[in-house]
Amino acid sequence: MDYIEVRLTVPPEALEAVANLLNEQGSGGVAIDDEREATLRAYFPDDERLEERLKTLRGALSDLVAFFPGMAEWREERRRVHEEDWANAWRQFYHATHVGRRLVVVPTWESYQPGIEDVVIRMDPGMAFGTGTHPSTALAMRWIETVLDEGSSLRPPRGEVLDVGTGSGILAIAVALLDPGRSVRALDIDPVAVRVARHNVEENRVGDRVRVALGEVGAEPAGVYALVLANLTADLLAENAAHFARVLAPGGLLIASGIVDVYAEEVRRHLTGEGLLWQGARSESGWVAPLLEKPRPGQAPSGSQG
Amino acid sequence: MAKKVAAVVKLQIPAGKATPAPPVGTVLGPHGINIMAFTKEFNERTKEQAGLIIPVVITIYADRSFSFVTKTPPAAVLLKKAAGIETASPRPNTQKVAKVTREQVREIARTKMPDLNAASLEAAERMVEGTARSMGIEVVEG
Repeated sequence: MDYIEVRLTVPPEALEAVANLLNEQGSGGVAIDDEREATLRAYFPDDERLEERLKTLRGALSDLVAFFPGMAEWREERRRVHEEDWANAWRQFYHATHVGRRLVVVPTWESYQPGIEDVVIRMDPGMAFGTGTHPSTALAMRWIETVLDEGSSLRPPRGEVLDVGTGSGILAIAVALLDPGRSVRALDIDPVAVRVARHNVEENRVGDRVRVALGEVGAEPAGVYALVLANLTADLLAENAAHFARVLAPGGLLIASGIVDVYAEEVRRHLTGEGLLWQGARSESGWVAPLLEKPRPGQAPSGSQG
Repeated sequence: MAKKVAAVVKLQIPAGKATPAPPVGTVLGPHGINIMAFTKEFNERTKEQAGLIIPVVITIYADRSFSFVTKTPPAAVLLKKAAGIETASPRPNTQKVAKVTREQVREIARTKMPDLNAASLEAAERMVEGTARSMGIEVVEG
């Protein structure tokens, strides 16, 4: 969709009142370019309501002259912005990134000569989350690399993998590439993410092992999954703690991520409260990603408590 | 060594509910920021204030990483909350839509002091009061 950018230059003392008017007309926020000159930018969808919104806005701005004399000289500029111009602008800065010891995330539009040990994930994240550059994704990917390593003492049992909130599909694809013997069920509640993830699954030629579907963890069968990946948020991890514990097979592992450090203890309380064993956590730039294990019958709670 | 700053961007956006749509996308996209990464982080860190528009100052570094700090909600937002209204008056000059007490104005000024260029609490109160009147909110003694 195209948007109309409305740029208003107003006296600094009127900034808050004008920002409020823009928000009330449905701009969904404003950008403030320079508070000294108080230039505000707001964006409105270029639809049938545009002219009405702008007419109301101008009327209200004119009224502000009574309260802020400097408003007599407010200026307005307009220009059209095309979605493709801004939605993909960040791509030019997104390059091949080594995320773990072996995993390398390479944008689909870039060529890359892999090293002998490299496992290359080709990604076009589109508007879905998960480029591998965000700490929460990178932490989850490093855990995946660790637990799927042949020599790992915390290797999940044989069985299927569940990726909850798959976003771009990056974690599901990482599993499929590192351990071709496993199949992955990747879920997201956002249809855009499902579409993007399916595209990336095909791009990485793992369509025979990764199935992407619209859905959430609550509807999954019990005791099935050897490994559950959940790069979500602290709230969602806490809310779904019982579901994670339920869907895991005995001895199965949960890699949780997307937790801002101040909420880590709360998430830990919920997950261990469902009987999962805390096997450690990694952190980067204020984000925390723990690894948990569902005990086997008769297994002592040997998980690290520290 | 400190990272090289490429740009500083100021936005006022909904706490806990930012989306990649404008202004976030239009402002951050051209700076090379992964818009989804920003909205995820911003929403997670501001979820406790969901429902309020809050100012955020985003520092974008040369390597396209970013950091941000949030500020106190705008006076206009705090005034609407104090007055119990959803929207300001469309004709503030003639049509008054709500009242706030001077004590409420003082409280908002106190909240806003760290982020205002005000020399004193009284000066901050005058700024808040000016914003209130321009929204059709009367300030009454009390």
